[in-house]
Amino acid sequence: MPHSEQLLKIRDLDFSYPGTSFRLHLDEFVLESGRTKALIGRSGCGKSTLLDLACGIKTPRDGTVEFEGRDIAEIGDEARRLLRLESVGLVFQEFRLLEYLTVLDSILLPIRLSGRTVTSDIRERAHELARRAGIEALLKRRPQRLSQGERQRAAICRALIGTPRMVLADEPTGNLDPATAESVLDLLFEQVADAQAALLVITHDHEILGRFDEVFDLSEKNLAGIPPKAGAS
Amino acid sequence: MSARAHLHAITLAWRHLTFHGFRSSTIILALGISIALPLVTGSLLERGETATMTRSEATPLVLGAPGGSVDLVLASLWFLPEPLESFPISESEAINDSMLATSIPLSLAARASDHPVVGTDVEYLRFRGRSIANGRSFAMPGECVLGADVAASTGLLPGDVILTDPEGLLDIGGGYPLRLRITGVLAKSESADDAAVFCDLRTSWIIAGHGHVHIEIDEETDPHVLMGENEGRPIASAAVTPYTELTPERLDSLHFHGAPGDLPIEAIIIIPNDQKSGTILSARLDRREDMLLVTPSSVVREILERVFRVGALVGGVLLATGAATLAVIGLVLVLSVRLRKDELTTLRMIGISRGTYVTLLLSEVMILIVFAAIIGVVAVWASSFLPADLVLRLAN
Repeated sequence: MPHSEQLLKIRDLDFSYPGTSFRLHLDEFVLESGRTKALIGRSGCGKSTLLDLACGIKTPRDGTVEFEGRDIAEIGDEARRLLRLESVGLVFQEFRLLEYLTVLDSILLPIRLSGRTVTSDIRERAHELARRAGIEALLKRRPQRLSQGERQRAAICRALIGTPRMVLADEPTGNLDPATAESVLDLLFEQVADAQAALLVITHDHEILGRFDEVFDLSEKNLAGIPPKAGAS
Repeated sequence: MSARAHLHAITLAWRHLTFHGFRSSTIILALGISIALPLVTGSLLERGETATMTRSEATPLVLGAPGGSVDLVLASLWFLPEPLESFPISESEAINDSMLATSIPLSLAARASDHPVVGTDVEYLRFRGRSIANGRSFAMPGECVLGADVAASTGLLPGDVILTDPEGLLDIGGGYPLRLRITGVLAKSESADDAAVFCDLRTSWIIAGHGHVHIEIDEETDPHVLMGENEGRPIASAAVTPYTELTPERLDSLHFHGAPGDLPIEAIIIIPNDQKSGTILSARLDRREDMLLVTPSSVVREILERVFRVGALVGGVLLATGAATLAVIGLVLVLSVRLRKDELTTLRMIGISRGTYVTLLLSEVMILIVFAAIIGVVAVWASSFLPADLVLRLAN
């Protein structure tokens, strides 16, 4: 990995949504391998947009977003999708589990979508992740029969199954009670540390900021400022 | 993107469809019916056309009492319960005497277990090329052979008996139902003969009350039938005799009322010796106002033209219905994609490729279409078990 220190490097970023007053303008944003970073800021400052830009779901109007030294705006949509499948783990606030898949199938989904064979090793890893997340007994259940905490644990296992080099989490504990939120964060931190991956988490919970290596306040860093009535957060 | 990703997309599509089983089944059923209806209709019309034309072309001429030519053909070729006037059997004998043709008389008025009872002679079975699959042909009054479908639906075999249907509840002057002894079952022929019971003309006349046997009653043979005695003669109870049976002993007393030549039949199949004989006979019979001569193939062609006009109309309606169903299904799928916007967004965010994404959506549609097509194929296959002349019966 030639740029192991700086896994994600954003420079001179400029992004806006057409038809809105929202604008995100960043001089620099860096995420290093094996480091954890909390992304905070007022609603509408562009935290989720920054996460989308970091993994290629969105591309900037100006500036560069480099992942492992490659500008992901230049590699094309298909390559960006493949990069997400193979190198990025995504955890969402609303879990985003498919209702018709069991927990095991949900965890294995990124492997299958990338066209890789679900080998016995991968299956074993899925069981191991589920065991460490405390949901091994629930592998045959569908999301409807899981608690909120169990769903988020399943979603975290799904994000980690491909051993991603970067995990992006958008308010992963936003819908959870404090005790469940604590245990979900424990799982996330533990797994990321094991994989030596980089972790970027959006959070509004200032109580947990102490757990991160760094905290990045986008409200302060967004040079465009925050519009009075933002259309995106 | 590897083929395996597409395979997984198909698996995902299958999981989604089975998870929403009721919705998927409803779409499949609606689509299946849209596919099956035109196929089954087309198949039935085609088979019906072939079967009816084959049978009508194999029947050169039919003679009957004046009335509708369509009724005469439907009754004499397909034994449909058309109201036909009867005429004397002597007409049949006259045709045979002319040495121009062979005539096969048909008595079509009776029914047994709701199947038509065709009184004729064994020449009919030879003419139609029917063989006996089990048992032997009828030989004497009171005996009958069953068409293959009658045997199958009633479960009756040679040696069993079948009771003729009474003509009507208010037919107080009619005879008792007759117990027909089954001597054989015809081989399946995929024709109207499969659904009929065949017997001797004399049997038909007995059923119609034109002939009867005398039954000896005494206390030794059947004490329950004997009500009393009047000047040494037994008085029998009609109430306790639910049917008549022709046994070999009773045949000695069989007799018919009226002159033998006056006994009634409803139709005659005429098989001219050759074309010239047919022309001469047709010319003679066409002149007669008291009889109706028809060429079944011409009549059937006319009927079929009518059926196919209706068929074309039905086809148009089915096409419109099918198009409407497809539009509704299209709408359901579009709505389904909209409802699944979140799910599809999740897949896109996780990183599904465009190709795999298209495979996922298309394979869902394809799975629905394949299952609907299977329903269509099964329906066409199942319709092949329906009588080939069903269209003719329905049209009638």
